[in-house]
Amino acid sequence: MVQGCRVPTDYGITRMFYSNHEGTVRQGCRTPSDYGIISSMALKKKRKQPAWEKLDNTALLFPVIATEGMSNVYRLSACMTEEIDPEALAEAQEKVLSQFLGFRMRLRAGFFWYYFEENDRPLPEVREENDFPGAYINKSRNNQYLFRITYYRKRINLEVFHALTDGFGGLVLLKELVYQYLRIKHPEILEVEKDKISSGIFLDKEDSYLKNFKRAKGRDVAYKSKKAITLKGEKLPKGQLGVVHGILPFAQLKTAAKAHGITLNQYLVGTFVYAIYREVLKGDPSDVPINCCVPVDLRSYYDSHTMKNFFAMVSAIFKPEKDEYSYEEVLAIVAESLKSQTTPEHLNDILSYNVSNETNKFLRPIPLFIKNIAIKKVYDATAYGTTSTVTNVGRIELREPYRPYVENFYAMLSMSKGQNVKGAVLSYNDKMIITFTTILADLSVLRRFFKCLTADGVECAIETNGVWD
Amino acid sequence: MSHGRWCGMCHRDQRSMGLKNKNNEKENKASAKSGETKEREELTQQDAEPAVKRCPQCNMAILDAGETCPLCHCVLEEPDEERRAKIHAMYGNASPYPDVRRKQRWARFALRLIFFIMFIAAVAMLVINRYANPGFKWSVIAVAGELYAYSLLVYWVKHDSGFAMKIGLQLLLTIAMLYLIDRLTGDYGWALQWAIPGVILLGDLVVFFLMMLNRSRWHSYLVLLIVMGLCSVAIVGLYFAGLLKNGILAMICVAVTGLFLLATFIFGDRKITMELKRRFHI
Repeated sequence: MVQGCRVPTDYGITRMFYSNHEGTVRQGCRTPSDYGIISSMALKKKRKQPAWEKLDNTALLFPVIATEGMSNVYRLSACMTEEIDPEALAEAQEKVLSQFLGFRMRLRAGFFWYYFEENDRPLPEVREENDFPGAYINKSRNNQYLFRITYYRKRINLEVFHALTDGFGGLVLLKELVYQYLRIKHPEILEVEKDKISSGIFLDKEDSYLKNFKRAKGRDVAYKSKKAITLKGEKLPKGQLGVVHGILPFAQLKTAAKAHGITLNQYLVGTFVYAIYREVLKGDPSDVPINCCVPVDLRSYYDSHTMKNFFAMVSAIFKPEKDEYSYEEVLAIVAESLKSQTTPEHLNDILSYNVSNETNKFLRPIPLFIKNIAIKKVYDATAYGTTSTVTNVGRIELREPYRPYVENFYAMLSMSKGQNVKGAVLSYNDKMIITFTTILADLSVLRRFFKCLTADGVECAIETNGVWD
Repeated sequence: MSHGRWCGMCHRDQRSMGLKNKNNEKENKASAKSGETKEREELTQQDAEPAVKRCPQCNMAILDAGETCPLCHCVLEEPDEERRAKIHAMYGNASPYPDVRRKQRWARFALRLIFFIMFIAAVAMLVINRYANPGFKWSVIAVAGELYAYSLLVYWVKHDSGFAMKIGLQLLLTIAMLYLIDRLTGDYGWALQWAIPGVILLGDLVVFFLMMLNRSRWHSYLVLLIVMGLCSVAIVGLYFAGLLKNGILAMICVAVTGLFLLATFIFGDRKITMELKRRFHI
């Protein structure tokens, strides 16, 4: 279990004190009275042993299933108002990453479990974007780091292997990177801002799954191996990933969702499910449901501020049992499906189910290679139970001095087995940006999705990565 | 900085100083030097006039540079200035992507080319063997060697495990390969008696150098050393079971690897204890 204690500082920053497994404070850790952020460079010099930690409950899956075609890497991008200066970006990376020990880790295989070990190699080179978004992170070509920072013209991309952290953690790092980059490029910001990472952010690295684990009281939430509708069709050439950004005015979207009497998330997921229903099932009844997974950030439910993964998957399920459901009906069914699952009790059941295997004393001593085989088998058996995933990373707020330099943010997911289209949503300023990533050559589902929004009075703008040209 | 601005500046300077031709020459040289810069300037110029179009079918703004709608393939219409300004104010600039498809094609082509050459070589060896020396099937060993080399190449290029893992796997594969060759060529026992202990000793040497080169992470090679120790003990076990005639090199191998491990534990002290703790945590 990850050892660490949180000490709130004057700045509201929670600091980690890494300790070894005997629970003693490591050399190099300061006392709680030392306010400010510990320079990891200083820590590095003083620590005789590299810091290490176990993977969180969700992260255990990713190293086993990650392949070139299913990288489990997500991308967060910030689009600036001016061309990116690679040297300044590299300098910003160096400065910011020194504070984020959670990202300076390498993945190692133990005899029973994978684990993270502090990586003292030079940080990965900041490069111009030369691959598709969310491409597999080849660790040996990336100094064993599990993230990479690239740029292209005005855009800064942060790509993170999901075992490290979820979108929340990635976004914290990206924002700090953008802040630091802008402080380097525009020193006038320093007149109103300090040259250090933001106060108020949490660098907490507890395993919130284990911390908040309570045994479920007989409720079964086990992942079903029942099949769901799969989005099929002609695929793009191997290795290519298509990206479609939809830029939507936030106010119009909110009005549209309100008009249907549902939340924004339910509206977007419901519209996507309706688009699948119309384009794939052609409005016919079906024995297999459309199952759209929606990750739910558990931090607000459990008062956690961890920088590790902490989310649970709920499913928007729609099984058409009659002909021709209307748009309104589909939205209502999806909204109800999501609402019924996003209750604290149900989320606790999911968390308990997920953690129960990890804490099972008979399963723990099984060698890693056997565990890997079992995990892969279970994953393969359940993979086709999901049609797609739509995640909402949330609203991004930048501090006033930095806001004029950042035009947009984007989030995008890589493909998973059985899921050939995925969506990621975030909002910034007065816009909401939904990014669909797909390996399909046919975009009829997305066309239908945007048409529905347009019909509801949402003025959409579309941008792609040009693979369909 | 936009290309347009540079041109404006140059033009003004040229007129005032009367050095238009000279400056043009300089400009040409500079642009010839860096095609990349030119390309970037062109891209930047595109930015000055953002690609804002409208799909009359989908009724949406399209920020791509193409002429057709990516969703419905309908030919796009150019909005008027007022509309363009409105779209630009509403959605901001486009954020284009590089064309990375070319890079992908080259990487795949390189591996396929190597495979193709190896395939031709394998067929050629099988044919030569068939007609020149049919009694001894040396080509089977050569083709197996080729397959082994190709798999290793793909593994080293594509797989992202660490050095220790790669070396460990290569060591085990080499041991298996040598043993098979011995079995296929008359089972004289040279593989177990000499070649495999030799490979393990070579492995010891490689690990020693890696530990020296990579001193801050030398402990990461501990598991590899333990695997080599187990292999050498297994060979000595075969000798004591009477399955090997000569066990001199196997004994040397056990002694060297054992001493190496012992030294690692004694000098490694807490680093080794922690490495074992990490590796074997339950």
